[in-house]
Amino acid sequence: MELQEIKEITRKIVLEIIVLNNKTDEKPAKLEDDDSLIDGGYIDSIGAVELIEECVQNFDILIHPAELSLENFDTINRICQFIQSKLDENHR
Amino acid sequence: MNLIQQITQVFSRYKEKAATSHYVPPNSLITLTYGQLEERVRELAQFLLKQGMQPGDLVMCYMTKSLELVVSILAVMLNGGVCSSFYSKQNPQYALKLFSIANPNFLLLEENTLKNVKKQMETIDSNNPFPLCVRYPQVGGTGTSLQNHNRAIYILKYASGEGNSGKRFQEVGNSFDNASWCLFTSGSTGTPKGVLISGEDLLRRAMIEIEDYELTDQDCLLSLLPFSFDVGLNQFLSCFLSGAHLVILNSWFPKDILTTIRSRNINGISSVPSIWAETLAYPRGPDFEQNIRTLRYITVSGGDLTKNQLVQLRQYFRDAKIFKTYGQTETFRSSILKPFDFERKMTSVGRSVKGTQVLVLNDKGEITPPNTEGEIVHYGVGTMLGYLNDLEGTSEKLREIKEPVLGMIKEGKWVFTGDRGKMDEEGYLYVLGREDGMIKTLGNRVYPKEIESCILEHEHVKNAAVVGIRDERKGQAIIAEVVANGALDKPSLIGFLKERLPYYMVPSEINIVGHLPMTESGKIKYTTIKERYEERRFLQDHS
Repeated sequence: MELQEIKEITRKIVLEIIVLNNKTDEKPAKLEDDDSLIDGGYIDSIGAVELIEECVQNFDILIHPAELSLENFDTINRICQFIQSKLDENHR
Repeated sequence: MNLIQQITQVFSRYKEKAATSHYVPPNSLITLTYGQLEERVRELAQFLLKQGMQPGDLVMCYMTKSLELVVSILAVMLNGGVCSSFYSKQNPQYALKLFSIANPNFLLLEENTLKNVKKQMETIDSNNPFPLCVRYPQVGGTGTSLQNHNRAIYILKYASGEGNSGKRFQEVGNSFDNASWCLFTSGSTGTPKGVLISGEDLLRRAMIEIEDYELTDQDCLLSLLPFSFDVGLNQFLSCFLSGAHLVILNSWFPKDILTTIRSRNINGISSVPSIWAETLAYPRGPDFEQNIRTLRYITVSGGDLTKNQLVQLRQYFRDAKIFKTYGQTETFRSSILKPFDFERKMTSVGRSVKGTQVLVLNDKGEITPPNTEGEIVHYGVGTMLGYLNDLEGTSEKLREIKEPVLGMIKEGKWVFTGDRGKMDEEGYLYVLGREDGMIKTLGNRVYPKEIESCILEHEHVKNAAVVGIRDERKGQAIIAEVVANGALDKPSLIGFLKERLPYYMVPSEINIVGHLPMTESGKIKYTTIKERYEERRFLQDHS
C-alpha cells in the first residue's frame, strides 16, 4: 500500500473518531497531519482505544501493547509511519 | 493563611525549582519553575481583573490539561474566584448544558474549545452574536516546545453571566460565599450537578493528602487524571502546597506511563482502576524493576479492582506503597486503606480519613452492627457546601442531623452517599455498590459489582460491566458487557459463571465488546449501557 493511500484511510478514521468522540456532526475545521490528536485534546483515552481498533481492522495488522504510545499514535503522520512499518514487516 | 496564600508562599520559597511540566513522550517536555509559574499566574490574574473579573465570580476553564490550564486555575484562585474546570473532549452540547446550569461569569478556552463553543452557540441562536473574547498569549515555558500546540488562552465574558456575581450562590438559600471550586459530577441521573467546595476545605483535604502520602519538596508526581475530577484536583493542590513537581501526561497508554516514570523519575501516581487494569495487562520487560525504581507510592482511587488484580498490582509494583481511597465528589475522601494494611484488608476501602466520621446506617437512621449492610454516610472534611443552583438536590444529599440518634453520631451536616456498604469490627469499610445500581431480579437483591468481580476472575476477561434492565418476568434482567483479553468464547464464560455464582446472578445475556463507555475519570458509564439495552428492549416490544 502506498503511503498516500495509508494517509487517506488514516485521515478518514481519525476524523470519524473525532466526530464520534465529540458527539458532534462537525468535523474539525482544519486538522493538520502533524496536529497532536491525543495530547492536543482531539481524542480522549476511549477514543484512542477506538482509533487502534479501527487501524487493526482497516489495515489488517496486529499491534502489540508495547507499540501503543503517543510516539506511534499522536499525529496522523506518526500513525501512517507506524502502519507502513507494520505492513512492511508483514510483507517480509 | 488561606489556600492560595499558602501556595504563593511556596512560589516564593522555591523560585528556581521545577513546579510543573507537560511531557509528551518520548522527547517533548516543557517546564515552568515556581518563579515562572508565579509570574504567569500574576500576569493572567491582572489581565482577568482588567476584563472585569471580581472576587466570587465563577470562571469555567474548558481546556485540555496543559501548563495553560494550571496557570488559569491558579490565576482564578488568586483573584478570589470560584473555579471550575472541565475536559476539552466533552462534546460542545454538554459544555453549553454546563454553562446554562452554572451561568459562569467568564469562560477560559483554548483554540479548539473556542471553535466548538462558538459554533454551537451560533447554531442555537444565530441572531445573538458570539460574545467578545480576548486572547491571552500562551504561557510558554522552558524546554523542547511541543509541536503544533496553539496554547493561547481565550477569555470570554459569558453574556448571561453578566451582573450576576454573588447572586448565584444565594439562590440556593445558603451562604456559599466562601465557595472556591465547583466540580461537576454527572450523577446517576445523568444530569450534571455542580458540587461547590470551600477554599478552607480544599486546604484541609490537601494537607491530609500531604500527610498520608508523605509528600515533600523532593517529590515528582505524575498527573494522569483531569483536574475536573476531585482526585486529580487534590493531587494538583497538594503537589503545589508541598513544593513538589507535577508532571502532566495526557496519555493512558501503559507504555507512555512507564516511559514517564523512568525518564522523569516519578515518585507518586494518583490513578484509577481502569488505568491499573490496562497496566497489569502490559508485559513487564527485563528492565522493568530498574525503570520504576523511583516510584514510592501509587493510589487506587475512584473505584476498585478485584482481589486478583490487587494481588497482581502488589506483585507488579513490588517496591511501591499502595493506597486505596474511597469517596464521591460530594464527600471527596471518606476512607483510605494505608499500605501497612494492604495485605490484610485489600478488599476493603480502609478506614475513615482523618477529620471525617464515616458510618453505615440502616433505614431507620441507626448505626448498623458490624458486617451488616446499610447506607454509607459521611461527616467532616471533604463535605461539599451544596449543589450549585439546586436547593432540592442539596437537601436530599446533605442532611442536618440535629438530635443525634445514638450518642455516636455528630450533630451537623452529613452526606448521605447513596452507596451501600458494611463495616467490620475494626472499622474497615467495604463498599457493595450504588443504591440505585442495585439489581432486583427474581426477588433477589444483587450488586453489579459482585457479578463483575466474578467475571473478571476469568483469565480471558479484561473488563466487565453489569447492568439490570426492566424485565416483565424477572423484575430486572441481568446483562453483562465483557471486554476480552485474548480468546474468549461466550459458552465457556457462562459455564465459568454458573460454577461460581447462584443461578439468579448469572447474566441472562453476555456480549463481548471492544471497549466499555467510560467517563473522563475512567469510570464505566453504566447509564449509557443501560439506556442502550432498554432502548433495544423497547423497540423489540413494540415491533
